[in-house]
Amino acid sequence: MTNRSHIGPDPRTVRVRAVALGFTAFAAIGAAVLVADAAQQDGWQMWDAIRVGLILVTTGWLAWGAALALTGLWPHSARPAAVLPHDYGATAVLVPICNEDPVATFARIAAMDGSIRAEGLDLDIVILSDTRSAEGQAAEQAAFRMLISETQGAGRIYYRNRTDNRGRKAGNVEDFIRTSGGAYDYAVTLDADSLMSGASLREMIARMEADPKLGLLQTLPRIVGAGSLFGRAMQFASAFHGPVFTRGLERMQGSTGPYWGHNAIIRVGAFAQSCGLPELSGRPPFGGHILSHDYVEAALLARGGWRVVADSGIDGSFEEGPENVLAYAKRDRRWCQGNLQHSRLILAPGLAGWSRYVFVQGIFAYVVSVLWAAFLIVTVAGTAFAPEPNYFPDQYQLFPVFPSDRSREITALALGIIGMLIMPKVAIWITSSLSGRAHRFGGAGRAAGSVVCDILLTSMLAPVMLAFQTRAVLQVVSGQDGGWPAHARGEGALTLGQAARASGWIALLGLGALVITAQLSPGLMPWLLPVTLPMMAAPILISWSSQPVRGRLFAVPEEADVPEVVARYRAVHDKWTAAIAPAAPAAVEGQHVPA
Amino acid sequence: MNDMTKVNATAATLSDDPSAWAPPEAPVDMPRQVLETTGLRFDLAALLRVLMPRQRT
Repeated sequence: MTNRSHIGPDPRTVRVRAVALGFTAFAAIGAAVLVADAAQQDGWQMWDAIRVGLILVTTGWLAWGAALALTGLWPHSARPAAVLPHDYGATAVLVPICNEDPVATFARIAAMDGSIRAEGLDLDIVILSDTRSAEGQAAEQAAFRMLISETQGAGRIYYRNRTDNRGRKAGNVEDFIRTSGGAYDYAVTLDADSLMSGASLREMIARMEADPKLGLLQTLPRIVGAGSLFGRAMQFASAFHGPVFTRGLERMQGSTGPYWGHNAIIRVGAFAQSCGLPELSGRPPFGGHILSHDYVEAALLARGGWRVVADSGIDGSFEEGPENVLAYAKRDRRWCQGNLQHSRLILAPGLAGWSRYVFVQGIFAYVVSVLWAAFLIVTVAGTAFAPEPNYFPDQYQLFPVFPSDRSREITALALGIIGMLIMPKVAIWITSSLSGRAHRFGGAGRAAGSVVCDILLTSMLAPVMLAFQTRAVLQVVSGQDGGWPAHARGEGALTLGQAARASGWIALLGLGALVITAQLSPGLMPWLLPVTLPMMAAPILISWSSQPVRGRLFAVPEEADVPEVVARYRAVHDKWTAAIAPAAPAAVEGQHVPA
Repeated sequence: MNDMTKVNATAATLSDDPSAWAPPEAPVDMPRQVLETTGLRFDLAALLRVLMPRQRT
C-alpha cells in the first residue's frame, strides 16, 4: 500500500520550522564564512574547501539542536485534561521481552497492574516473549505464575512465547496484532524496562478517544533508578533538559511526530492498516529486516493519514537507562545501524516531507561524528601543508606584507560552537529558575550545580563518544552487521581493566593524534588538547563515571517524591527477591529488544 | 522444579499448559507496505555508458 494521504502541517508549525531552519542556516553559513575568510589569508588550498564544507554541516547540526531547545523553552498553554468515556476502547498493554531478567520484568508488570486497577481501568496486559532458550522460557513461566499469584490476574494478564522470532521486536508486536489485534482498539507498547502509571494510561486512552485521527501518541519516558555517575547524569538530563527538547520537537512535528518504540499508545486498526513492515532487499546492515522500526512505523502511520504526536506533558511514564559509557555505546551501535539503514527509505513512496527529513536527521546524528573527526584531521593536515607565507609578493617591494591575523575570528568561531552546545542548557536553567520548576530539582542553586557538572561530564566524554560513534558508522558503511547484541540491564560499575579492554584503542588513537600534531603542526596542539586528552584518559573516564555515587548531585524530582508505580515496583521486586533464590540468568542468544 | 516454581504453586487458577496463557485470538490483516523505490535505484554502469558513449565497444 502506498497511498499518500498524510495531514499537512498547520501554518504555525510551518512558521516554527522556518524559523528553526533559518537560524540553523544562518549559524552554519556564518561559521563557514569565518573559516573561508581565515583560510584565504595564506592562500586557498584543497584542504580549505573541505574544511569549509565540514564546518558548514557540523555547525548546522549543532545549531539545529540549539534551535530545538530554544523552540521548546516556553511552556504549553494549559490544556484541559481529556476525559475518559465510560465505554472506552479495549486496550492491551504489550510488553515484548527477549532474554530479560524475569523477576525484574514481571515485577514491573505487577506494579503496573496494581496501578491500573487503582485507577479503575479495565486493561489487558500481554507479555510477548521472544526468548528461545528452554532455561529462559522456564524462568519466565515460573515468573508468570508468580505474577498471576501476586495480582490474581488470570484472564487479564497473558503470556505467549513465539516459536519464530522473525522481525525481532517489530515482528513480535506484529505477530500479536495479526493474531489478536482484532480484540483491541488500542495497544500500549512498552519495553521490558518500562513503567507506566494507571493515570498516564488513562490520559493516553482518553486522548485517543477524543481524536479519532490520532494514530499514535508518544510519551516522554523519564529515566529512573540510576545509580552510577554516568547514569545519574543521564537521568538528570532526561528530566531537566528532556521535556524542553521534546516540547521543541512537538512544536515542529505537526502531525508527523516521532515514535520511539515504547511508552506509547497506538490505534490498532491504523497500525495494522499502515505498518506491515517488509524486509528490505539485500543483506544487513542495509538490507534485511528494518532494525529501527519505530521511526519507519511513525512515517507509515503519517503516510496513511493518521496523526502521530509526541507529548512531553504526560506524567507517569518511566524507563531505565544505561549505567555506563560502554552500555550506552553498545546501544548506540544498534541505533546507528538502524538509522543508517533508513538511507534506503528516504525516497520511499508517499511519505510526508517531514518524515523524510526525520530519516535524514537520524542518519546525521551519527554521521556528524565522522564529519567532526574529518574536520580535525583536515585542520591538522591543512595547517601542516600550508605554504610558507610570501612576505614580498611584488618584485619591487620595500616593506614586507604580513598575512592578516584572523585568530580573533577563529576564537569567535570556537566560542560560538561551544556556546551553541552550552547555551540551550543554560537557557533551560534560567527559565526553570524563573518559573520555579528548578525547585523540584533541589532548588535553583543545586540545579545550577547539576547543570554545570552535566556540561563538564558530557564535554569530557564527548571525544570518547565521538570515537565510538565514528567506529560504529565506519563499521556499518563497510558492511559489518552488528547483529542484535544482548543487553545487560542494570549492569554495574566497570573496573579500570574492563574499561581499558573496551576503550584502549581510543586512548592509543588520542595519543597518536597528539604525537602527529606535535610533529606536523605544534601550534595546533593546545587547540586539540580538549579532544586528545579525554581520548587518552578514556579508560579512566569510563571506569570512573560508572561507579555508584551518593549525594544530592543530579537530584531529580522522582527521588524526593517517588512515583506510586515506581514504589509499587520496588516493593514487589524486593518481596519476590526475598522469597526466592536468585533466578538463573537468561541465556544470551544474541537477541534483544531495543530500548 | 526450581525455587520460583515452588513459590508460585499457588497460582491455582492458571492452566498448567503455558500455551493456554496466550491472549484470545482475533486475527487482523496487516498488509506489507511498499518502501523501496526500484525505479530510482542508482545504476552506475548505465550512468557511465551515458557519460562516455565513445567507450562502448
